[in-house]
Amino acid sequence: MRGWMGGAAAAASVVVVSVVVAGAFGLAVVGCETPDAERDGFVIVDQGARAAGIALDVDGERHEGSMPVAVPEGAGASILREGAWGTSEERIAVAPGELVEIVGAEGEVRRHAVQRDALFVAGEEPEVRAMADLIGARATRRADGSWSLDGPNAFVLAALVGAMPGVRAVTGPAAVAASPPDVVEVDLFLRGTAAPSSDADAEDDASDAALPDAAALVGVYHHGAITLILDAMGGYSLFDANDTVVRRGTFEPRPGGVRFVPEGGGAIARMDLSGDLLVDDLGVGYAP
Amino acid sequence: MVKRRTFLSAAAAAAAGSLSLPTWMSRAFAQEDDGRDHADELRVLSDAYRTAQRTGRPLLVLVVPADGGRRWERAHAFGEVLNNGSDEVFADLALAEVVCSTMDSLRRLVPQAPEGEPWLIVVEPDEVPARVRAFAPELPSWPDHWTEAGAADFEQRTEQAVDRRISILTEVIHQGLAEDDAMLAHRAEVAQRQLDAGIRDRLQAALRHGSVSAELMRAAPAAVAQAAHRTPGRRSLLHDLAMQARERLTQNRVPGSYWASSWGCGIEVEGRDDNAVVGCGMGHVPERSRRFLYWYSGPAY
Repeated sequence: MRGWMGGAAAAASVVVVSVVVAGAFGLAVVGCETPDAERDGFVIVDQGARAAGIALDVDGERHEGSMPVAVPEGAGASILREGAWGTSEERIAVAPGELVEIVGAEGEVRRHAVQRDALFVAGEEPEVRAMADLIGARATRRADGSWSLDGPNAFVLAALVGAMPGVRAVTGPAAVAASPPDVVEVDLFLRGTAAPSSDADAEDDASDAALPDAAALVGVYHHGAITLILDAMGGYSLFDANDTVVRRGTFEPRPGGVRFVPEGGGAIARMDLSGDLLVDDLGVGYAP
Repeated sequence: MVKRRTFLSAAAAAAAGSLSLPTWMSRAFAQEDDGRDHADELRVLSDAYRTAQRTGRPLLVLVVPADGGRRWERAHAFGEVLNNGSDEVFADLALAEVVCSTMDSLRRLVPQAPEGEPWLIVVEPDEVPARVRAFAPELPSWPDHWTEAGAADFEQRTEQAVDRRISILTEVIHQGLAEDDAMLAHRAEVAQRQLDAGIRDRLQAALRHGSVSAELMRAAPAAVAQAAHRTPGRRSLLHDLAMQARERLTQNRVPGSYWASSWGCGIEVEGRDDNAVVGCGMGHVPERSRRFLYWYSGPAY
């Protein structure tokens, strides 16, 4: 039996999140299999399908909620449809690392790759933010009014939530092709800060933390396959796993950490310095 | 003696004749693959930069040409000075953190590094933006073994060429690291700024007495060099500095490289177990040039 806490702790980047979620769920989930974005598949039944009475069965357990449902390798998954002659059952294959979306009243099946660190939801702001807190993610409102929840293992942790009152729809980012792959996690600290910039500046001004020497910050930092370079000119570059630059700008020391000013404007992001480690506001650490 | 192009032709002929080269040897002579693990190179460069910054030293970058075909001469020239250099050059090298890097990797970390491929770059990492100076000396080549080996003065001219190469690099390193009293004083000040007060006091006391431990010498070599130059009877400290640097750079790998030897019958890379020897007679390498910096990747430099 793999306790989910053990699995979560195995990934360094989700340690902070694990603590948050463990606090929220208490011991209710101990004993469940840990969802894993690579080992398990996932199914989402969208709002239109649910409204038409479509549900999901995984190994005899019925799911009617909006959250992703993990389908462990070897488990049986079926679409359940209510009709004039009762409930029909359609077996579906769900491969490891796959997100199967059941869409609309006809229950159309769409398949995507799981992006473990992000999901999109629709709902009222308080409920959405509560869910974000629960899974240790940052909530960002999208242009269409829906929300993007980004955080280490955010999608996988959403599968542990089960029902979330007030959150009306959930989908993975691949399903709407709105977010480029492999950038979600590197984007975390650049999407914006938890507090408005002026508040953060005020916090910096009031801080007793030491101001790091800019020269001592220069170097190459890594989070997994993501590379962050603070260069000897005072610039920064963020590279994705394909060694492509996804962000550039300048860095400035701030009390206890670093301020990142993106090239061409945009939100100023901040990271804290913990020893030699640069840590963003979600606890994602970049190590030399 | 052999020029790079000639050596390559001979190696290629030998390979075509009977040998199937191991991967590393294939890489060594490949023109289309520069044979370096650039992610690892950047990590090594970053580590060296950090060490230099934290110890208050300059970073001396031995520039690895991107074109594998241009590495041969430079790798041997650096090997000549590091394996045959005087105490003077090692006393200067003691002041710096030394690393080998391609310009592509260097420009990622030090964007102000110049265009082109100078031989040496000195980066002063004590402030942002860091100050950078580049050195691109003109070095003579060895006489061509294939066309000139029969000449009566061939050996003499070879030795003169090696002497001249060592002399030029010695002078360039001196310019970059310890050109004058002002530069040395600045380096001593920067290095001591990085020290804990206790160590700084111990160093000052040791310098007054003229007996500096290896630990203190490593902590602030520029302060030791400055004292040696300023104080009568302290010149032996330069020898001690040189010995320490010589051990660091010749008994260990220079970060970003392996040590290797070539004597005309292939290449033996130190610390690697996948060496191979290809056909003898394909080239000749001067005695003092045989040990050189090997700039092709293994699992790590």
